[in-house]
Amino acid sequence: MNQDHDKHEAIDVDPQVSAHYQSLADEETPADLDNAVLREAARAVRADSRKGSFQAWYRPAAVMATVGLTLAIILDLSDPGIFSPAADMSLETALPVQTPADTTADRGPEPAQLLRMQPDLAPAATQPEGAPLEDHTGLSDVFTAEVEREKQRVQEMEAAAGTALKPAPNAAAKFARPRPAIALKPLLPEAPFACSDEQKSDVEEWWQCIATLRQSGQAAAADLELDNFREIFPDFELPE
Amino acid sequence: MSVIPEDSALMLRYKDGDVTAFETLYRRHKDSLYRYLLRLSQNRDTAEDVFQDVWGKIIKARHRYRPTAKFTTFLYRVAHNCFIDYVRRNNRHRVASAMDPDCRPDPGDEPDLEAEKSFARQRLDAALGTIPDEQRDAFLLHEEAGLSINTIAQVTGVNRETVRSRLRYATKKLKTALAEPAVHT
Repeated sequence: MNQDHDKHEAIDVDPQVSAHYQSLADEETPADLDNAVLREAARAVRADSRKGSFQAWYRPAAVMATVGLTLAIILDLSDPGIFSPAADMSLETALPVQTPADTTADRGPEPAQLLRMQPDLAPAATQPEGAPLEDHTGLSDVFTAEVEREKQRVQEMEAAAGTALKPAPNAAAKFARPRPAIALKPLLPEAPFACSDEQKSDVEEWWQCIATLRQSGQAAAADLELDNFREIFPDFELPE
Repeated sequence: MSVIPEDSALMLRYKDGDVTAFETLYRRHKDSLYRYLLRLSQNRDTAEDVFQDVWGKIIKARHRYRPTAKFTTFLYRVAHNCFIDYVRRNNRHRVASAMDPDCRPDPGDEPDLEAEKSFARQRLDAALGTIPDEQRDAFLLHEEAGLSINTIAQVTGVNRETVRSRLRYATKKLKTALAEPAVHT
């Protein structure tokens, strides 16, 4: 029993009553109550440990997921391609605005024409070797024609409705934007990839061509040309 | 010489997952708490219900426990509040005899002495039953928990003069009741 009394306190309890009470109060807690409480205490600790092990991986995983998602959103928003004029233009070109006044002939570029207008889809491999890449897509012409058609349509609408509608200046500016010709840098400006038929007609020139190929580092092409050369001119004395 | 760990240290160890620390703490306080509730409620079933409720609250409160006050103060404040809640919840707890024989220690080899003791205990319980709840509460907190006047004031939420007054009246009434000639039935 706790005897925790403050000795400095003047307790107003008769010592005889207190002693009488202490001599009689000896009841004990029933065993089933003890078991129930102790079981509850142990169960609570077990629940804590289970909760702790769950939190051990749950919290770091949640933090990692949050950081990853945040980074993905930030990187996605900071991607300049989303807001670049090229992307904007391709979207407008790919999805022309339809108006009720549109006719079948005035619907904008056909799908094949759209494909030609996409600069990224233009096959670079079809360009002649060493030649600068000219703007063969006719993109500027298409844009100019598109702007002209747009202006004409607006004028017709103005005439019909009698209102002073103006074409969207931004769209016109985008369509009219001059596109610089892209020049491909020649892969081998100084050495031909293989010897021409004209060179092969003369033994000296062919031999010179093979030497040029070898000097420019195209050993495989030079060997191939040399094999052909030996077949055709087996008697030619090769210099050292 | 082994050092007996303080109640607060045991509670902190239990907070960290040491169940044996809780067992030590429980065995140290269980009987006095049980007797406090038994005599306060005057009903064994009520005492057991509230007893289990009190320890359940102590177990749940282990993470919030801070050793700013004595554990005994903390324990009996919880017990006091639990009993008041119980009484309010049940409008008025059923008062019955707390003298159930199954919660008494084994009488041993002296049945006559034990019969006398049992009779004296009945008189004590009857005398305790005649005094108001607040006075009985103060008396039991002093006798069972060994709390000082200041601590009883903290636990019951009244000032120390009120506690002194309650203790004085309770003792006076008990002394009068126990001094009356015993009548064996």
